Amino acid sequence: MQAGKPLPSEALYRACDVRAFSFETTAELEDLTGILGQERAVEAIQFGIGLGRDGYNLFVLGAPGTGRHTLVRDFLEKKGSQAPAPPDWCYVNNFEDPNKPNALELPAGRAGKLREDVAKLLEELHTAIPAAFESEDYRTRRQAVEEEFKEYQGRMLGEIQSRAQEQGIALVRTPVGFAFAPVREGEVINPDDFQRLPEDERQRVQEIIQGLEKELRSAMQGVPKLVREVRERVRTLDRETTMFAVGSLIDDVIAAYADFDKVAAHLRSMQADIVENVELFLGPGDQGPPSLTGRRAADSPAVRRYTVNVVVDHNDSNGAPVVFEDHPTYQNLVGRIEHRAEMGALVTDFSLIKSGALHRANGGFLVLDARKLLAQPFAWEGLKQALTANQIRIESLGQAFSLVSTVSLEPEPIPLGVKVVLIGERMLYYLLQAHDPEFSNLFKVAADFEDQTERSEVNDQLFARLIATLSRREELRALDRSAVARLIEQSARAAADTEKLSMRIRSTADLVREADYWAAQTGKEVIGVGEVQRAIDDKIRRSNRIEERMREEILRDTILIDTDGEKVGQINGLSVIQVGGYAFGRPSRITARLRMGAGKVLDIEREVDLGGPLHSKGVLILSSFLGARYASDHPLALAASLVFEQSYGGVEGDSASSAELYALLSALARAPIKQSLAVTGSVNQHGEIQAIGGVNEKIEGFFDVCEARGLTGYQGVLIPASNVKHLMLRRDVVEAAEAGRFQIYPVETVDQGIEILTDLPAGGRDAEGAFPEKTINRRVERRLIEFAEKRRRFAGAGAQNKNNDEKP
Amino acid sequence: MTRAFTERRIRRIVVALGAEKGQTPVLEAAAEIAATMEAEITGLFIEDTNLLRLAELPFAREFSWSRRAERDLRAADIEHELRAQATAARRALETIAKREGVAWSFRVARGHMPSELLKAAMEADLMALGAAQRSFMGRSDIRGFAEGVTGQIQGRGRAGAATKPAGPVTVVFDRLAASMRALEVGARLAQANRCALRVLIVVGTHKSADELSARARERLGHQRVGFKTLIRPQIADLLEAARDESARALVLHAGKSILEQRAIEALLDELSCPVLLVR
Repeated sequence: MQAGKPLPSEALYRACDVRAFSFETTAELEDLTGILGQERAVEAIQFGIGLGRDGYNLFVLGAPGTGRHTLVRDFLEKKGSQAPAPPDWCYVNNFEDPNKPNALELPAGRAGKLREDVAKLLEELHTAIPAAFESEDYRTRRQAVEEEFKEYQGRMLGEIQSRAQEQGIALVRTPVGFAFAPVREGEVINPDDFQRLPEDERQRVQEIIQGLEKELRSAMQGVPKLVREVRERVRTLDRETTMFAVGSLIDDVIAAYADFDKVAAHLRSMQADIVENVELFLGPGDQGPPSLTGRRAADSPAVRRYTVNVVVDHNDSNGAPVVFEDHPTYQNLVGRIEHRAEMGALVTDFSLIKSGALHRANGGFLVLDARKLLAQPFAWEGLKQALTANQIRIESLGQAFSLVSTVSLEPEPIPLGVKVVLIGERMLYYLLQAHDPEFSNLFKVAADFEDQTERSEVNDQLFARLIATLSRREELRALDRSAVARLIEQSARAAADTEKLSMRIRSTADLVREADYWAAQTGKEVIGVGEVQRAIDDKIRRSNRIEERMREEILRDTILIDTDGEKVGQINGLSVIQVGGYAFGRPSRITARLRMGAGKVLDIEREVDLGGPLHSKGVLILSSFLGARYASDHPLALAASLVFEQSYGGVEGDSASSAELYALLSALARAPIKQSLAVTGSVNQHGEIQAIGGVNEKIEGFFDVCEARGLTGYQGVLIPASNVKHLMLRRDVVEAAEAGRFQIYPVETVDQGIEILTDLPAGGRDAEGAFPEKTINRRVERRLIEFAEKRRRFAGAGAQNKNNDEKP
Repeated sequence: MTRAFTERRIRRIVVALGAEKGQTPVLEAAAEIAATMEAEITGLFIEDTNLLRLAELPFAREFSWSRRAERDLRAADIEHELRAQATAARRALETIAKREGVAWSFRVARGHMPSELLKAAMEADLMALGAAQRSFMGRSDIRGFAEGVTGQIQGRGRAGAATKPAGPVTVVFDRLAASMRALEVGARLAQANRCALRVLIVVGTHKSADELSARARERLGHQRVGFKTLIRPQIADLLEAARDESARALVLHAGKSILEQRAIEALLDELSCPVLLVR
């Protein structure tokens, strides 16, 4: 490469040499078991997964489509399959405090069995308990207790009644009780007749009645105690009956879980609770009519009270779980407590506790998309809380944030041992690092995925195997080696670097799928380079509507872009526009105007807030260059303005700063610039041209306009020499360059660039420090000195006038 | 059912009503008979003068065994409580009569209870007793009060007596022609309740029992029936027999021996199930 001279066509595109491939089609290649170009990330993932300490969770960062999910999944599933299945968990009723359900831990696969055993037990109890209470034995014993009581009462009342009768007094029934009354001839004495009795007789009768009432009162006072005694005896009988029915059945279940203390303790509590709440089993059976709420015994209070709610069941697990939670809401992570509507009210109990992803992943791995996680309210906080406390506490959001104070459940927290893998973009990682102090303590391992890898012969071979793996996994057609080569070239283009391959595997996989479609359309058995090119072209075609409309407006001279002739202070700059996932270049006219001033270069874009900070920086740099090079010993008495003509959106980046400087130099030197050329590249304070991004798109953008108007052979683009290694230009551009109809000039300095643009020598300072005559630099310097002198004269005349005005 | 059963139709049934508790079985029995025989039913609530007299005595105090409370008894209180009981009785009659689709009426009488019942029985084709209770407490009443207290003992199961199934409809059958109507009523009631029928053959000597049994069996046709013979029983013996059978209802014809005050008093004192007196 020679600076200032057009690049040879081979420098514009690095083709992949198909002769390096020993295969005919990818069907001959083995699958790629490892991952291409991600050694750093792989090491980090292996380290993070292997280190089982608190806080060593992973954040896998990198660009989308680089295979982060696939790699993580493959690693975790392999690691998980080698680890033992973690324990099962279930929630059961806490009979002492139903608002705080107990969590039970059981070996993998045993929780479901416990649930079945308890369900079977409840079924048996629904039969055994009613049978026990309907038994002749129970009835007889109950009857005996009650009869004893009745007899005692009856005897007591009967004795009082007999004594009353002996004294001519009857016990008379009233609507709500009874009373003593004197009797005459079998009837209650008439009140008038009673009044007519002698005083002493009336007194006698009343005394008898008062005596009887006293006896009755005394007897009645003993009744409550008697009732309590009888009630206690009946209760004892009920307990004995229940224990008889329940005891052996529950003992069998307890024996089966004797090795698990907490489970056995729960079953014993359950036994005691059943004895106290046996009426739950004496309701309508399965065959009975539905209750008011429409439930049958299968959903009876007894079943709900004693059932086992399995929240984690590893019965079918072959190792540690690997859970991918695609919708990481707070509740989907930490679990939730559901409610059921009963008679217009929302009620809940332990059986309505639902597990979250943390429960399912406990003892294994949980993979989450960082962006989705952060987008869900409170999910990130919930995850951090669980990881910090090493336990899963199920709380409703209202409860967790004290928004509601209604009675709700507080399930016993479950110990947490999980490796969380967050997958996200780099920006999220760095934002979290910067703004969340807990983040670095909880996610100590970063697995940073490369966007690119070296384009070497070895990697080309691995890339071919990667394509073979992709096509086989998705049952696509095999690709011939020329198709593989084209995909490698396209990958280098995506990386915008002849020496790199893009690691955005998803884009390559998309191209393979689309090429397979076109192969199917044309009835080909193997995907060839034509199908790959068709896929590439079609993808562009589907995306470039806006690009075409813009070009059309240029060709119709609505947007003014010259591609021939010469103009002073006017140059074709190049910019890149990103629309969705598609980027394209377009030329923009940049103009510079001058006048005498105070040494300021006015960036019009900046003045109207259309220029970003990087663009403004570029303008300030070129001002500095101008002052330092041409006005080191006199004032820079210049007022220049720079503008992107017909730019109605924002301008950002410094890639146009060299073009702006060329326009300024042209204006100062009054040297016209060839409009057949376009320029890209940033400039530093020393006049060196620096690399920019999107060089391929920018060249192609100008090429398309020129080609549409007809290539003259003089057209071309000036690019920073340091961007030459990024050139992976379109085939038509390369062919035009090869034919001498379009030129790409690598430029290292401003002087090289201005010479190409003006066909005038730039000129270097001689021994006396002066620029040679008839050089651009000489003309620029001369013009700036003129501005300085005029300004001095102008300032002097102004001072003289001021002095004259002040004279009396 | 043979044609002979329909020789004299039962058109008017009187039900003696009292306190709410215990009146449903007798009301249902009477309404079922009324429905099958297209008879009209009249509810009779008697305000016993003994009770009213008691309330006017200056020293009368009322005791509640179940609530273990006592108070001075006032005539106004008794009047109000009797009215409330009568209203409840009327409502219960209305409900059951409407359910069975029978014509009904209700009246309140004040007087000496056995006399009032006798008077009503003379005017009716069938008299149903069960809920009406004499003011004087008998042996069974005292037991009933004790049971009221026992009801406060809540248990998970049920005691034996309370769960025994209702027994048969029991009919007293003798040589009198009215026995046939009692048998008819009993048979219909048993059919309506889908329960057994028990016939108490009442004779002077054992010799004539078989003949009476054969006559009853002939009248009943294919209906399932059981027999028991009683020799010259008193009313108390009949009631005891019904109690032994756990009778759902006792049906007997209102012969001379029944329609007298002492017998009615005995019935009221001792009955443990609805008693239907057929004229």
